[in-house]
Amino acid sequence: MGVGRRMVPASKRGDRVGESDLIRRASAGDAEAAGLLWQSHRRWVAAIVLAHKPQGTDLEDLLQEIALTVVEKLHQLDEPGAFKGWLRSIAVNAARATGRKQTRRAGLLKLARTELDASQRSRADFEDPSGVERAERSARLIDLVADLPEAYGECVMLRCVRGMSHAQIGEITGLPETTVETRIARGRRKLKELAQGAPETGKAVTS
Amino acid sequence: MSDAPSTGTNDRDRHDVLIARVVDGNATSEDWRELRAIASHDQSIWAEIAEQQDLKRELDGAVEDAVSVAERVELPMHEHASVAPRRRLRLALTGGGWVAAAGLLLAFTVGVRGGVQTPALLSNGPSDGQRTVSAGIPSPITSAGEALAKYMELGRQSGEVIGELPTSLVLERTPTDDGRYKVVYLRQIVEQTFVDDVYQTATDDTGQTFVVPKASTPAALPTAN
Repeated sequence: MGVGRRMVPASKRGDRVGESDLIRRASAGDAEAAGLLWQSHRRWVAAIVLAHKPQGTDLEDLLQEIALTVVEKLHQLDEPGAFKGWLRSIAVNAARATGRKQTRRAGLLKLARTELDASQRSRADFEDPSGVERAERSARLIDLVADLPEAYGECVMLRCVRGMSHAQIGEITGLPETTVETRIARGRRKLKELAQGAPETGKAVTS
Repeated sequence: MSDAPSTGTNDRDRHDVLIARVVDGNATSEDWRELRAIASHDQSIWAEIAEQQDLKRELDGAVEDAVSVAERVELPMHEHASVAPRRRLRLALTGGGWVAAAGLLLAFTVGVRGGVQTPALLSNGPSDGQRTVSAGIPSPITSAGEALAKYMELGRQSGEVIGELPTSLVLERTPTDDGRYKVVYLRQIVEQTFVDDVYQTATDDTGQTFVVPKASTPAALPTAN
């Protein structure tokens, strides 16, 4: 199958018109429109944050921060077509800013948290070993995705959000579909290597 | 979706893309033909597909679970002001961000009232609370805050207290008649101790609780840095 421009189905065109209208209304101060807009995008925003946030940061707190920034800056959004990229930038910036703050907080805080985590883990471990094991494995897997080269991690994470296609990921990241597909494919291989503890092949990000 | 990869990608990339298409359920008949051709001289590609399917299933579940917290986060449309301190307080009051913001909220409250003093949080030095000390003779402890500050100071000296986490866990928030809030919170003070043996409780089939040595899983002692 070729890579050329695709026909957009009528239903999708309708969706886009609907969303553009929603974005215009939201940027003009329509609270209901803004709320609907946020609700239809917040899951992938969370996935972006997961790909960029430092380990140990609370995802929900970061999303609160992002939601507030959206409210404060929504009126600055002139072009509905730029909405997804704009929202992605807010999410990435919030996650990175948290990383910088966290880097400044080290030492005893880290020790204290590790101690607390260890004690809570051992308690929970006893209460529900299988559930805790599963949760720990999930958290570890997500951390591994965050450890992937940035270009791969975000695409891999977005692909896990229900119903997110390569085209939609391309809209958010500003990448061509084929690049998205390649990054996901490479990212998954690297993730498998990381999960298995295998050494990385050291391939550079070229697309 | 099954767009061909951009030209110039190497064989490894081509394998990865084909595997990804199969795993995502997007492989075309052409892709399958290509896979069978690869498998005719390298059977390991089937094992790779199986491994990637497992990984994808697990990762999809993990990410879906993780991002589901987004459903609890709404746009705070009623909050428009952008002054930094107010922003912090708003975050503290908008529900989901409670736990992380609780430290800020409490800092505000404690700072203004000067009641229960928070001892120098997680600092290695002695507490710099406002204890009254005259001529080297400490005055009697007259408040819970002073008692806590003393406990932290002595605990640090003896090595029993590592520190207090800067965030307190808010359990309950109730508006008061004078427009303020009563906040019930949990302090998180981290202590350490040294013991000869470690036990844990367990429950047998009859529901009886008993203790068992936990020697097989030594507690990991983190290192400070």
